[in-house]
Order: sequence, then structure tokens, then C-alpha cells
Amino acid sequence: MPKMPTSLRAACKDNPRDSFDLIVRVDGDLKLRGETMRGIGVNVRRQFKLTNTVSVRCTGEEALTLSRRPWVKSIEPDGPVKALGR
Amino acid sequence: MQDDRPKLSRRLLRSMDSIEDPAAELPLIVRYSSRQRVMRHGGPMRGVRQGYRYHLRPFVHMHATVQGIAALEADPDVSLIYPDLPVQAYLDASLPHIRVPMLWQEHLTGQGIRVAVVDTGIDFDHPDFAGRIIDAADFTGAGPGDRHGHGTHCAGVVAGSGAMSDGHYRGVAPDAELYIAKVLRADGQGMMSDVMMGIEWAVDQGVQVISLSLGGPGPCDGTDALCETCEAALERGIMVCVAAGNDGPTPYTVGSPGCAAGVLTIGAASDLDRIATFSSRGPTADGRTKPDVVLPGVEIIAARAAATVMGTPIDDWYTAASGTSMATPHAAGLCALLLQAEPDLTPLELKSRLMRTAIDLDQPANAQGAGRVDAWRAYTDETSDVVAPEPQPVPAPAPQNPGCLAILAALLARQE
Repeated sequence: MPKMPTSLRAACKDNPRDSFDLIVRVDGDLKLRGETMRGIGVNVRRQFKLTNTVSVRCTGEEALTLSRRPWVKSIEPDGPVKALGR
Repeated sequence: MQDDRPKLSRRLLRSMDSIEDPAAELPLIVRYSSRQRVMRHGGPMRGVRQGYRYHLRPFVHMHATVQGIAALEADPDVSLIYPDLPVQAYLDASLPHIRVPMLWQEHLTGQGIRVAVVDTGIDFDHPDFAGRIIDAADFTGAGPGDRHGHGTHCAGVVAGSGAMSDGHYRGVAPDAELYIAKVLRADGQGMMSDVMMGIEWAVDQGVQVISLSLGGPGPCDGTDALCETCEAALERGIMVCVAAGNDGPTPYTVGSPGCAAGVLTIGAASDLDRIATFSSRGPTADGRTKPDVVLPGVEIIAARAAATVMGTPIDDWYTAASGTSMATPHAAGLCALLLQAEPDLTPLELKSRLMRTAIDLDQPANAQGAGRVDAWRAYTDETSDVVAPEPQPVPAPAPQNPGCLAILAALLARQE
């Protein structure tokens, strides 16, 4: 299974300076991984200990850089959700 | 019913246990195997006084001592013996329809059970929740109050006391403890990562049930981070109930986190057991059947947040709304009742119980799942196709629609 959906990878390549809201699943120490991400300029918004995951805001270029890190398991869009009543 | 005394209801057995005077009589409703058996049965029986013989079904009203009940139990023509219970008006239509009030009569009201509603927040001042909002957290940055109305409505279906309606719009588990995570903004929208935060917070609070009346667009295959978060909560022993979505009747419309394999995914039906057109249909992107069950989700009246107009307001305190969002807290509340009855039930056992005891509506599996949940069958773990009817409380009459002018007047009065 690829680390990034093909459509997301293409969007990051085509728009390297655009901002993306992403969810990144990682191996290893969550806090350490978060600090490493900050070190390459990624805005780490939240950390999720249940699933060893972080939500980030970063550019397309930074997302592609992240995807090359061996401890990054997967990167996916932080998608919208909505209330299901009316 | 008890395995060793299958003809007697649990409630009756408890009543019998509390009797000290052997001459004391209990009011009963006795079901015979057929009407012919009732007609044939006319002779006196020690400790039994016969009353009215019902003609629609083979029931006879009786009064009997404990000895008399044993004699009835030994009669091969008698199939079931129920206690005759007092009746009262309950809620609107959906809870009597799925037989929740029968669990209330068993003293199951969700007391001591911790339920998280992860949604648009809650109206903290609504009297239906007085003293039962244990904790709340906001992950939107706007404060935990509900400026949309959706979260308050869902919390009302789970656990509203009905205080402002004389119990008419009481929720499924009116004594449950509420934990409120606000993850959707005032426009009812949010991001998956906000919901993940809400779930983690709920897990940290030690809740036993999480109700998620939200989701993204379908289809999905259950592998995204939000689904994984739900699965992680399940692994920690927390029941997770999720709305299927409102993008039906098109197939492949169940979104995340409704597509997560382990969660209980809930579609919506009417009180007439018709699957709602809007209720999302499976299968999931990877071919699994969803939803798992359906529950009432059409025109459900429950708590209304102050200064909000979601749904069709009934008065200052209640509004009618539709969606799989409304079906989902029915399931969450019922899980709270079942956990009160059987605290050791795991999420897998709860899901399995609700599915195997559901009533088959003869609809495609990707529309109805296993069928429409029935609270009494789930409680008694009754899987036979024949539902043994117990004495039913009389539903309260539906409220009169107050009309637009009355609604407007109520709104203005509340604003003042």
C-alpha cells in the first residue's frame, strides 16, 4: 500500500507551495517524530496517542519530503466531516 | 426469560423473590399456546384467580400467589407468564416502537453509565441534562456550547430526561452520565482530526459508549485514520456507535467513520419500519456490508439548544429532526441500558447482540443491515422470529404541530 494516495501525491507535486491539511501516521516515539517534523518546517497541529498519528498543515513540498522518511507510515488528507441530521 | 424457568419473565421472578406472604397475589397476564387452549382451560387452580380473557391474542388476566404461579407454569398449555405492570405515557413514538420503555420498567435507565456525544457541543442550560453533564471539551476553539443544535438534539435522544416535557421527550438512557466533546463548528462541519481528538478525549475520560452522529463522504474502506481511531477505542473496551450517513439510497455511500469494520454503523428507518430514503447504503469500498442495523431516525423530537433552529422546532425546548444522526444516539442509549444490565459486555458482544436480535425488515442487507433493533429482544437476547408480545405501555399522543406563528412566538419569547 503506497504511503500517499496517488491523487494526494499528484496534488502535492503540482502545487508544492500550497498548504495541505494532512494526517500522518508514524512509527516510533510520537513526541520525537513531532519535533522532527517541526524541524523541517511542518506545522504540527495535533498528536494522537491512540493511533500514533499527527495532524499537520504543511506545503506540498514538505508533504513529499515527509513521505520519504522511513518512519512515516502513511499520509492522508485531513478530510471534512459534517453533522448527519437536519 | 430465565433458562431454568423459561415461561417466567425476569421482572416476574424478581417480584416473586420479594414476596414474603405466601397468600399475597401478583397481577399477571398469562399467554396460552392457542386460543383453543384458553377456551379449554376453565377449571379452578389453587392460588389462581382468573380475570378477563382477551380475544385478540390468547391472553388471560389473572391474580396468583407464588404457589399459583408455579401451578400455571406447570400447565403445558401455558406458554408465558408476565407481570401486569402499570402503564404511563412515554416519549414520542420511537422509543415505544423499539420497546425501550420495557427496559425502563426493569429499572434500566443508564444510571452510572458514561456516554460521550462527540458532536457540535451541548446547551449546558437545558434542564433535560441538569446535573448529568459530567465533563465537556471543545476542539473547535469556539467553546463547548452548542450554536448549531445538532449535538444537543443527539444528546437528548441518548439521555435527555424529558424534564421540560413531563417526560414526553425522554431519551433512551435518561440517567446516563454525559461527556460532551465539541468537534463540529456552528455550521455543523469539522475535520477528521477534530473528531479524532474528541474520541481520544472521551477515551481518556473513561467513557463506556461513544456516539458519533457525523461522517465524511463515502465510500471508504475503513483504513483511514479516523476509522483506525474508532477501532482503537473499541480495543479499549468502548462501544462506538456511528451514523451511516445521509447520502442514500445510492449504494456505496457510507463514509468514514461509518465504514470502520468494528463500529456499530446505524442507518435510519421510520417508526413504520421503512428504511429512510436518505439513509446511506453499503457496501463499503472494499465490499463489506454496511450499515449493521437501522433505528428510528425520521422526525425524532428531542432537546433543542437555545437560539438554534435546527430541524423543526416544536417549542422552546424541543425540535424534530431527521437523519442517521438521530438513529445513532438511539443505539448509544440502548448500549448504555444493556451495559447497566450486563456491565461485562464487550463492544463486540454488544454489537453482536444488537444485530442478532434485530427484526428483519426484509430489505437488502446493505440498506437495513441485520434489521431494526428491538430493545427488549436485545435485552433478553431473544433471537426467535416470533416476538412474544408483552404488555405494552400506551404511547402518548403525538404533539400537535404548533404552526409557524406559534413557533415564531416561542422563539421571540425565548430570545427575550
